[in-house]
Amino acid sequence: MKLGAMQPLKKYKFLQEQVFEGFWPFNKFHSPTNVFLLLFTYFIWGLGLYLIYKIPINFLFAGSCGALGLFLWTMGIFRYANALRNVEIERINKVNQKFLIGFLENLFHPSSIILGVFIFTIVLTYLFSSPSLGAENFLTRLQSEMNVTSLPPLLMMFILLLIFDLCYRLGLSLYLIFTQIKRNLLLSKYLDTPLLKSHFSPINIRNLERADRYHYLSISGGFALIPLGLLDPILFLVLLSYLLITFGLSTAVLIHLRLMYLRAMPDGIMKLIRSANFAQIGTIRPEKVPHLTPTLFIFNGRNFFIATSNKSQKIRNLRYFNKIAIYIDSQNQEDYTKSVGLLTIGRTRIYGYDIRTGVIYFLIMGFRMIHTYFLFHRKYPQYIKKYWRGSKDLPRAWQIFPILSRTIIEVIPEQFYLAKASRSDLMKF
Amino acid sequence: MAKLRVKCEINGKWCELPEYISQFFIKKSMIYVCTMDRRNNPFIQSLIFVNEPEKCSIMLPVKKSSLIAENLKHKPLLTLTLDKTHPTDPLGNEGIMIEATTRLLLSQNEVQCCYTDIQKKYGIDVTTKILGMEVLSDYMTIQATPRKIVYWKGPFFQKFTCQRR
Repeated sequence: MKLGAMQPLKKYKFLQEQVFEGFWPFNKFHSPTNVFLLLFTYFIWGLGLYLIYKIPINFLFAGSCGALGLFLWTMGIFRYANALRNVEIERINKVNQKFLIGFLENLFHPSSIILGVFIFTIVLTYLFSSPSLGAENFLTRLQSEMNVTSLPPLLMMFILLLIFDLCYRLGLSLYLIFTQIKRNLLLSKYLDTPLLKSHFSPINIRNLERADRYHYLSISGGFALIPLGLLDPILFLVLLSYLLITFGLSTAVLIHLRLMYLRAMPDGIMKLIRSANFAQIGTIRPEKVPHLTPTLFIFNGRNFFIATSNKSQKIRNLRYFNKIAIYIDSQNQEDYTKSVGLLTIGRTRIYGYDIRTGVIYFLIMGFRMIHTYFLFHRKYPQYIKKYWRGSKDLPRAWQIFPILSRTIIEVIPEQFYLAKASRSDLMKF
Repeated sequence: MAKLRVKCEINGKWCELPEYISQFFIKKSMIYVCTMDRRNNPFIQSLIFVNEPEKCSIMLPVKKSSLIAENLKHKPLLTLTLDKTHPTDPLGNEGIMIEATTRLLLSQNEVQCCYTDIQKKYGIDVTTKILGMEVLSDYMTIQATPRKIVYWKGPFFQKFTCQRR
């Protein structure tokens, strides 16, 4: 298998995407327009059936919720597929390529439809075999409310198509979660092997996590199906159990990936971050000139945080160019040949520019802001004491009045570089 | 504040730098350098350096293939920082930030000259360890000429711009 050339030659696609490519008018549009078109088609079709056959309004509402759930789910899954397809595989090292291609091969394998077909078969068996089960189901209830012995073929076709589409997505999501679990276990095994660990960058793991989050959000589209279940208690219970299980498993997958992000950090780097007191912070001025200052920082195991005055040059710069560089080094002045440095380049999130935005951020991110303050307090107790004691002698920008005069910059890493012995060439990891 | 002592010339302008600023060039062995890439991402490195006090310029040896060299070819501006941090007192932190324009010196003579100065400052062993055993033709010298210097001590800042003679 020619690993490096795999991605440009082979297009990884889910069945739904292939169907869209084969059918007019969906093949005339790209995602997300074609997904909107699907939602629109279901709505128009459902509305037409409602007007022709005088379907009870609660069934129209349930059908609309089904179509909406389908739409949200499809959007999430398409975004997920796109995020994974856009990984620039040529840039990744061979071990990482093999791992990623293995994962993509599993993820987009044609067998991903099997679980969906299985769920569809069970749902059909249930719908057509009950009320022998003792309870009225969705279809029999619709028949009795419409006062007919059998449903019109056009309506039946609509219901079966909608149910198949939903079951396919339920099955696909479950399949994706199993594939993600398998991938995580394999990745964990690699990270336990020192020789293989160095091939996996924390940034690559973070990118996987970012892509997985789209799928996580797509499952939330499933909650739009809840009103469907209100017409059928058994379907409701099954659906609720499914949503709880998939949410639980997806959450576990994401937490596991988060932990592996930290594990992928080289051991020496973690020691360096823990031991360093100062970091050099680089930003770009609006007139496109670099700006560099030392500052205190903390690392919460995932992102870096800096506390600064909300009138500082850094904040002004970041409002123009939202990119930042943080350089942390061992500052070994006795023997600079042993000096080691970590350069992190990332984007930032500023927790308020003034009192008004600071209060809004506090309402949204209050817990994280308080936690950050405690982390600063724990790392720099003497600094904080000095700030408090000498508060009245300090310029207002330096006084510790969170929100009023100070703000927090969260740095979300996008690239890591390792510098050794003040050499001008760096190693990306 | 200490008396103004060190004088140097920058692009036909005359700078008088106080001793508390010039001491950073003498005492510090590594300088933090910030450049920007084509996508306006800042990029920081710590490098060894030598300075020419009369010209106020700072010379930095870098590999031609390094990212910093690539960035400077695209945008010949950089910012340098030399600082002295205090482990417990925030008011004791001091340092200078220098905004500078750059010129890339590629000729073998200029690189050799910078290499010799580096050897004088850091010693032969350390220079070899840091710059490696590569041939000098792999290297180039960045000549950084300050256009603005900002000094800080704790929360107080002082800006220096150079005057015409």
